[in-house]
Amino acid sequence: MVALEKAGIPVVGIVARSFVRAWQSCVDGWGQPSTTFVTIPHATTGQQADFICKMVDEQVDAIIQGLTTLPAAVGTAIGTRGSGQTTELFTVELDATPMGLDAVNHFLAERDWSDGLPVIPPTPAAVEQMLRGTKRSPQDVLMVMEPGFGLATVEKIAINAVMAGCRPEHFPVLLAAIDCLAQPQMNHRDMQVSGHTEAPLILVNGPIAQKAGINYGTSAMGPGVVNSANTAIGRALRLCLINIGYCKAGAGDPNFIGLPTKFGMCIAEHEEMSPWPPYHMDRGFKRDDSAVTVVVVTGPTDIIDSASRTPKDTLNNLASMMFYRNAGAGGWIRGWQSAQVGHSNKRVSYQGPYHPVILSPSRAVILAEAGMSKQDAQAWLHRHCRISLQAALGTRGIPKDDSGRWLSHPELQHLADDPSATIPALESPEQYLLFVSGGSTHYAHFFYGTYGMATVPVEEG
Amino acid sequence: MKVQIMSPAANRVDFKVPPAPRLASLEGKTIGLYNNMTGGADIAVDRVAEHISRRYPNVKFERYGGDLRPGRPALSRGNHIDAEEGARIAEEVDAVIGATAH
Repeated sequence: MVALEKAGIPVVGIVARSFVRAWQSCVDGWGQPSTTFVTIPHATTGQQADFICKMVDEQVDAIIQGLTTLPAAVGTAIGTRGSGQTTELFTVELDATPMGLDAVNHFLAERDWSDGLPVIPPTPAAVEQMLRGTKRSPQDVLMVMEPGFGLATVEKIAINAVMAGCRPEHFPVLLAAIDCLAQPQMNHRDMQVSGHTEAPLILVNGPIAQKAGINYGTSAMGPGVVNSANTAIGRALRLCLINIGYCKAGAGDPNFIGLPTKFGMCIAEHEEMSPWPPYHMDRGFKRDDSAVTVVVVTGPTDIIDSASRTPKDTLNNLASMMFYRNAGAGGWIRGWQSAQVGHSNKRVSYQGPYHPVILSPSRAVILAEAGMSKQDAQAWLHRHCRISLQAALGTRGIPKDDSGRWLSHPELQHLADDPSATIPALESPEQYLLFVSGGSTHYAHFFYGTYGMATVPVEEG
Repeated sequence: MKVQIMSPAANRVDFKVPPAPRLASLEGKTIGLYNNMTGGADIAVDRVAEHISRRYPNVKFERYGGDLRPGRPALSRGNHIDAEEGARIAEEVDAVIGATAH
């Protein structure tokens, strides 16, 4: 909407009350905090038409006024603006009292610079030590993080890494995760500002996993000292999204309910126990390379596979998770999604979603023992997870040219009126992202992917 | 004991966009109705159009959102109006009402 104001025409937004802070955060990021909006009490999504009309009826006068009266200036933009990359220093007084011990957390919480949990104080010495974990220069900018358009310098990332409890050996993994988010196909803007609960899942491959102490065995996605690297790296990425991207809970981040996955998720592949080549080899890396993949997900759901006795049982059980209709199933029929890159006019098309399935080694073994490669398993899921074409088209249909021909996948148009026609839920087998991790038993985790994904090499310090 | 800490908050790219001039009246204008394809957004902007039509019978409307305009970028939650599309819309209409945050 700010782009339209910039183009010289007035706009008014209709904003649900639970999104007001998100709206304010976005228009602030885009440079016009006073962009006019009216508020309706409830989100329109999932509401009946009569109720939506009733909510809108009460705002018509305000909408007309918004188009005909200049908005008053509101508030001041949050955070330091400009190209300078200096980091402010603050002095906080500590003492041995309970309040004194908590002084740094209190200081950060007052400024909304935290995920709400206690942090390690990011002192200059601690940050300097963190920076020894990389060869990159402290002022290198890895990305501009939305919705706040914050400059993700190596130094700012290091500060947040200290706060999260990272050690220098974790730092290259965190930097690689941010290199992934910087890829346009990650559509990190929507990951940040959507009301839908989406979170980055960090998948680590190669020797860096052991070097950084990332658990890939029993309970690797859970709490505990054995998972301190997993927890700290995942948490550090979330702190970066909050403090560098200005994605504050309830504001830039308007998730209706949220999920604990948003505190952070980082896991490595159990490459020794997996019967298959590790995931980064699927992405063109060598086994001895270290690589980080980030995929944006919601969920997960635990898949209990205790009753399976055959590979087909296991695959059927996995496939049973794939039919949640709002998880992008069949969306590819309308063509690839595209993401806009920051303030530029550049759009990037990307394939998505990718649905990660974290397979316990035991679940991969039951498939491999039957002679199935990972690609065979992906192909099976692709072949069997299908959706009705008519359901995929839904009420939106598909864009057509002047002659009525589908602009996307015209080769399937002859099936449009066939109620029995089905299409694969995901466009390509590779979109079933099979990753082997955890203790070796009869479980798997299934995540619903939402946007794209990226894999990048880890630049070790 | 005093401890020095470094700010975890990033410096921000400095964008400033002044508000566009407002319309003297809606009389005879063309209004864009933008919905970002989330549920009910089309209903919300259509309802506003009904009201405005009653008050200003000579107002025209153009609809934006999703893939309503083949050959143009599909505008949805993931595809915001960028500067190029904003300039094109500004040539087609005098103002825009958008249901975008719901």
